Amino acid sequence: MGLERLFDPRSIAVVGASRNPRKAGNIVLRNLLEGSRARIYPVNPKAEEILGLRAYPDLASVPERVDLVISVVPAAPSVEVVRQAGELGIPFAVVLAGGFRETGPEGARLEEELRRIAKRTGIRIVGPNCVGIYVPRTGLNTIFIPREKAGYPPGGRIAFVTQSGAMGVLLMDRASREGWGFSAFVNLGNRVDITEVEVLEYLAGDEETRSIALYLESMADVASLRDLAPRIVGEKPLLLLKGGRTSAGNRAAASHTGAMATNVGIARGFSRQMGIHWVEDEMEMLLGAQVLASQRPLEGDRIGIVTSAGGAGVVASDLLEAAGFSVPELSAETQERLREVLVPFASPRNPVDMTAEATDEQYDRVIGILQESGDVDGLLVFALPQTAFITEALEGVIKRWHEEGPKPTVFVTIGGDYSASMKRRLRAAGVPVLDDIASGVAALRLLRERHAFLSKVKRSRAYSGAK
Amino acid sequence: MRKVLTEFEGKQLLKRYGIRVPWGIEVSSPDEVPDDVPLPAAVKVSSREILHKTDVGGVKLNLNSVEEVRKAVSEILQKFPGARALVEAMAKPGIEIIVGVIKDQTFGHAIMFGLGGIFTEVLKDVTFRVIPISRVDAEEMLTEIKGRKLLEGFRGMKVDREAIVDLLLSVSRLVEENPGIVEMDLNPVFAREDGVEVVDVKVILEE
Repeated sequence: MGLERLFDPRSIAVVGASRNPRKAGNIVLRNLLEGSRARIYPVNPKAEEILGLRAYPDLASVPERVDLVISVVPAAPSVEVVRQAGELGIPFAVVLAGGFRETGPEGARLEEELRRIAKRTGIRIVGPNCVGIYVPRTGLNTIFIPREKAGYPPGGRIAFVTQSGAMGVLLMDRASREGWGFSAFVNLGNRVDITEVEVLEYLAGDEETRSIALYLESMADVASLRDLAPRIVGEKPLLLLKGGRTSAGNRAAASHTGAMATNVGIARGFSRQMGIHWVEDEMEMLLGAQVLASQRPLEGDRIGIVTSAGGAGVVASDLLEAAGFSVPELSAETQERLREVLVPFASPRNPVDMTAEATDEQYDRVIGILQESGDVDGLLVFALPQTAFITEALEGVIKRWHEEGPKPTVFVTIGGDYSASMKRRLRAAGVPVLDDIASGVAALRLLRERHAFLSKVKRSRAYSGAK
Repeated sequence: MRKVLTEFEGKQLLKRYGIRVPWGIEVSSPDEVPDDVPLPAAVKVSSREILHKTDVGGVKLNLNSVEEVRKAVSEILQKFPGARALVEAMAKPGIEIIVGVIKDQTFGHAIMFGLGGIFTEVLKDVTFRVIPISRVDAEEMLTEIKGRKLLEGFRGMKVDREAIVDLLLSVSRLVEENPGIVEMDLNPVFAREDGVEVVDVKVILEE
């Protein structure tokens, strides 16, 4: 059985549901009631009603066999909850409690018990020691942080799979402030049963998900990931942020290779080998996932820059060239067409600098000319609303070229509150507008890498087909 | 239990996978050195106990006559009782590269590629892939290192890139078929216009 009912359960039991608003068992229930389309059953032997719902003394007395149990009780009682759930034929459990393998031998014993229950009864477990799952589309939310303290992103197209729960919650909070939407969030925790591999397999087939961001400190199953990666990467971009970059070669290595080998070096090589985008930090991961989810791959190195601020164009050219791109002078024909649109003292060479005289219409026509020209492979557009002749109509121009432009186009807005409000509206409309020049360049680098990875996957498919 | 192959054994293994190594024989007396030994030659101590031969004074290079070779063999055998001596033709120099293998706890066998000498040791300019690798993987390794220009015909020093790619693929296959290998260094390997030649090899097996 796949994981469909884990991400979209028809019914959920919350074991350890609580009337105390500060307790996880209350917060989880509140978060579910706020958005979930599932039938919700609080389980608590000491309460008759919680948050207006009838409470049940145990799982056996819940009137239906639920699709998902969320266990909010501590480690040892959680093992009992999962045992009962498994014996009742419930297919999925999320175990939030810590106190397992990460705490020592007694915790490891409890975790082993969970593993045995999963094997014996067939129940599938997320966690333990995790915050679980958040799916904006179905309203499933197992996270024990209240909405007034941390933001939950709106629905969107990137899936975020993380081994660390805290890292996950913080980045979701950040993402929700930025207006970046998620299709799904999964925190794997101790991975007693369900690992990143199965979750990736599910997400590969999930229509809402257009790109997948993965934060891992260790790999649960390299061999399976190796088998699966080409299929996922052929479908959608996958980004990896690998934490815990210690040296693996620390043991007295007898060889040069042993002394040089670090787990990060090998992980990076593996990542490239599989066509997985290797990112250096959490913002590159989230921004990259946004851009890769919504833009076509970049098939060449030539970038056309559109700006109303000369300096932004200059710095962007420097950074692009350092990253192996070129910012070629546009052909005479293209420059001629641009001159018809621009004011006389603007520069049509590339960067195309419209100057502070820029208008919404100039943005539209300049982007259009570069989209049509054979001089560049992709565009970097500085969407700057601060100058006199720019109106809210610029948003429509950006949105349309984002959706319809045949060449990949990255938009950057630099500025404070006024420009941020435009940025937020555009992001809500699905355009991943970036905040600074370096992020724009990083985004183009990822789009170029995506093209390379896709051709690699295609070539290796053709190769294995020919064998 | 870890077991170290002698350089001679290591090179025999490489040869079985079509990897080029210098002409060489293992001897236990100077008389076994043939009159037509290729010159210039090198003599190295051959023993499973000695992993770093240079450090213990177990290597004599640039020997230009059969007499010099025999004398070097006598000295090595005297200095390291119980050991044998490896007599080899000196390889024609080229751009030094290193190819290595490490068995990693998480990823299993990984193959490493880099330029030799300070590029590897000081600048750590190396790149990894997990075995088995494809031809595309091997080609990418060559373009990923920072010193890649040296492999693209820098200052008239030409290199047979295809031969390096083939070497990486051969090592990948060798390790797949000999999974007991836990560490391996092909270091240095001379990369020249006429192909690649492995000058020294260390192979460590786990039994």
